Amino acid sequence: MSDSQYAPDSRVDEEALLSVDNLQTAFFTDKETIRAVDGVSFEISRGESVGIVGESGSGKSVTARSIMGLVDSPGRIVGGSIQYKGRELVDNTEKDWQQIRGGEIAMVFQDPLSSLNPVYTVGNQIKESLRLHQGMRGREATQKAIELLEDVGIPDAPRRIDEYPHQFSGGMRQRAVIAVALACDPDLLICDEPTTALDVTIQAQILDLLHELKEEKNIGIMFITHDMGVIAEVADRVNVMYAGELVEKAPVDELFSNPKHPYTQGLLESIPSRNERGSELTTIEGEVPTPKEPATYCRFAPRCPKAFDDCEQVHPVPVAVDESADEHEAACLLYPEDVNQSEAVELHRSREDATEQEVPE
Amino acid sequence: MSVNETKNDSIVTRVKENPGPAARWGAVMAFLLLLEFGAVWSAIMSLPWGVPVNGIADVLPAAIGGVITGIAGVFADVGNALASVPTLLEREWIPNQGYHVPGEGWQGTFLGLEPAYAWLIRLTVVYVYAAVTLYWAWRGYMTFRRHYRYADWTPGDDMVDRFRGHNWGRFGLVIVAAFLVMALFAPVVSPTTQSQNMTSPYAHQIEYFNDDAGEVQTITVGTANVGSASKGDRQNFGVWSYDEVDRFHPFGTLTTGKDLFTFMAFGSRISLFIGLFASALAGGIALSLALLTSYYKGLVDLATVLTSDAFSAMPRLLVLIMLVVVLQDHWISDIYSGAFLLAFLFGIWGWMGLWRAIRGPSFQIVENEWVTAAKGFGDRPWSIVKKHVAPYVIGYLLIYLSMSLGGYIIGSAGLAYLGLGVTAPTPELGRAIAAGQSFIITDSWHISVFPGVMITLIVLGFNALGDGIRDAIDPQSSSGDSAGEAAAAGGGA
Repeated sequence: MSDSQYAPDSRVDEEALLSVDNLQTAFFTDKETIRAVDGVSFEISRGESVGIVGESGSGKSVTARSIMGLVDSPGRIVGGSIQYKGRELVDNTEKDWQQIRGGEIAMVFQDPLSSLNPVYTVGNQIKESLRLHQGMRGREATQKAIELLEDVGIPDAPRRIDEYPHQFSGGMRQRAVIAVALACDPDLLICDEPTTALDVTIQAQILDLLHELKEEKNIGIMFITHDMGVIAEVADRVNVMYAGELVEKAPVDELFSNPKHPYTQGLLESIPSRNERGSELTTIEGEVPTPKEPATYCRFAPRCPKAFDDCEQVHPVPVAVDESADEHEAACLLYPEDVNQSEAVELHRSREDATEQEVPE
Repeated sequence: MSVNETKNDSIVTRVKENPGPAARWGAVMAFLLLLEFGAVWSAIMSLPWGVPVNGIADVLPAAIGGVITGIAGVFADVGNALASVPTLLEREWIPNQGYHVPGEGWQGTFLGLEPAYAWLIRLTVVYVYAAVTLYWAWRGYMTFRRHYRYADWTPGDDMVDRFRGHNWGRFGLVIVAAFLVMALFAPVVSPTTQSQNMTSPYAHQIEYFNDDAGEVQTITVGTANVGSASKGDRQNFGVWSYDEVDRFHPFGTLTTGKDLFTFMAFGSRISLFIGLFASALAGGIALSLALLTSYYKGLVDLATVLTSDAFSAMPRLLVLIMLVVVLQDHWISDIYSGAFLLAFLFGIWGWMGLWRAIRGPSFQIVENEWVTAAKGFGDRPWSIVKKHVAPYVIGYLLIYLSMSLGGYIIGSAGLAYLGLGVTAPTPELGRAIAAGQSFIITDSWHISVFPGVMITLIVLGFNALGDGIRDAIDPQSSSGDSAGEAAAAGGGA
């Protein structure tokens, strides 16, 4: 339907499907401004799965909703750019967003129990998406809906299609939600903690499913989770988020074998299975601060075991961790690793001055 | 049978597999409806089609307008032909209009019976027919439930059961059903016809036996009415009486000599029309606004709150009186002798309470994640609220509507009592009350009392029905819950 408008030209393969640059989303309440997403940049290409990981409250979901244009009042995008297939989304009107949502970018929500309307059959909800985005109706739509349910691995799909969400188990409901999203035929699928509400075996199945879909349909997947284990399974590249900022980004193997940012290191150490049996579980003390003012310091510093004086004065910007690793960046004054510390701090300071921006009230 | 089989089948295939009960039920229902096929059409034809058609034809250039009226004429002819198909419940089968010749008994009535009994038989036949048809519709639902519904049980079953055990609600249902039957079958249950009684009494002639002359003579209905007027103690034709030309008046006559029962039967049609139309309009506005405000929130909501406050701040009765007077000569006042205008105004001034009542639930429903999900899949706002919010709030709305409907009926009667709104010759209960007011302590007390009691009963019935439905839908609500009544208390003019 809207495909013609975003015709896949040769450029798309080279260019990123989605490129988010210095995205800033803030919530304006009576008392204060909460900078839920504060200067986030990343890219997603076709056939690639990008993970966003972080604790609760670090701004992952708001990033996803910003990309979908679903940030509810009093929040709004205040800066930066979101380029989808080379087209700017930030200043879209509601009508433009409707063109994007579903058909181009679809989202799978966290709770499969509540993202299906209990009063309509599963088939009905899939068909609604098919009607909207692929113009299918009647028998054709039913057939396609059955295929989609089979695609997401629901057995006995022709029978299941006439059932209501309450007749599905949790895992099957999440599959159904994914089927609804796929019915839109999106090029980018945003999964907002799709496995959090599920138990581990079902989780693994859903992750396998997403992996297959990525390969088969050559779509980009943005995967949001707080679970490092899930990220290891599903993502090609990982962005670690903390208090509205990206603190580290790296390919998944690199990140797990060679975490650089102290926060990432802390996260990895707090995975129970990675610790020796009998040793005490490491945790990161404290909790994610609510980012209320522009960052002029490292937001992780109060919880950081490696913090030093400059962390309170200089805002770290993402830099390559060393000269050889161009895909591995960390926003920490400890890096780049191959220069000495004061030089590194100076580098961060100078770059920060160049990019500093005020959130317009 | 395996689960697989039944689940994929639509109702059609399920009926095909086991056609017995459905066929039996369908045959009887078809028979019942066929009996009244002509009446259905005459009801359709009795709507004021001429007004919109002529309105359009007047606006358009003569040539096109002529074509439109021509086409409409063809439809009217077909409709009239269908409407004249004889039905079971026709007054001609059981006539009650005749005259008494001393020594020879009653002439022209059903089996030579006294008109009172002929009329009573006809009334009974109508109500029996209605009761049987309603029962059969209920049987249809039960047949579906027993033989064809896939689920053994649905939450709806519990609601039905709760309603069946709700005496107050059942009382309301009976009253409302009786009222509806009276309105629907007004031409049949009336002792005389609308044309004779109200619209053109001087165009009809009736025969009667003149005692003085000793022979059968004819007289126009209009002239006869002069002699049958109820005017207090001097001259009165009260309950269950015959006038001088042997016409039977179950509820007596009006001050004009017209039959009160006929007036009330046709008046209940008007009341019902006003009630339903105003409810539909007010409910439609309320629902649309509730969906709109719950989806967009913020400014839209604020604007609607202010608009609703503004509408509520205007004294409704005074505004209605003013508009009815101002629009007196406008064509809109001609539709249904002003009943349409009245219903329209009631609807326009009736949505505020309803909107407030369902605004809260709408806000609650719209926060569900499936609404966000639908947004995320690119659904249009209107189809999101229609599909995902409306089904949850329509239940509430219906309850409030069933309660406010009585208010609209009282309101229109109140205006008619003041001599406004529905004008003659279209009957309106309030006008009868006003006419009989000065005779209330005389022998002619029936003129005010019967219409008054009837309005009271109708409103009571609708409120009781609403109570019953509410308690049936929501098992937690007790009958002492005041939220519903407060929202619905708007009607009284």
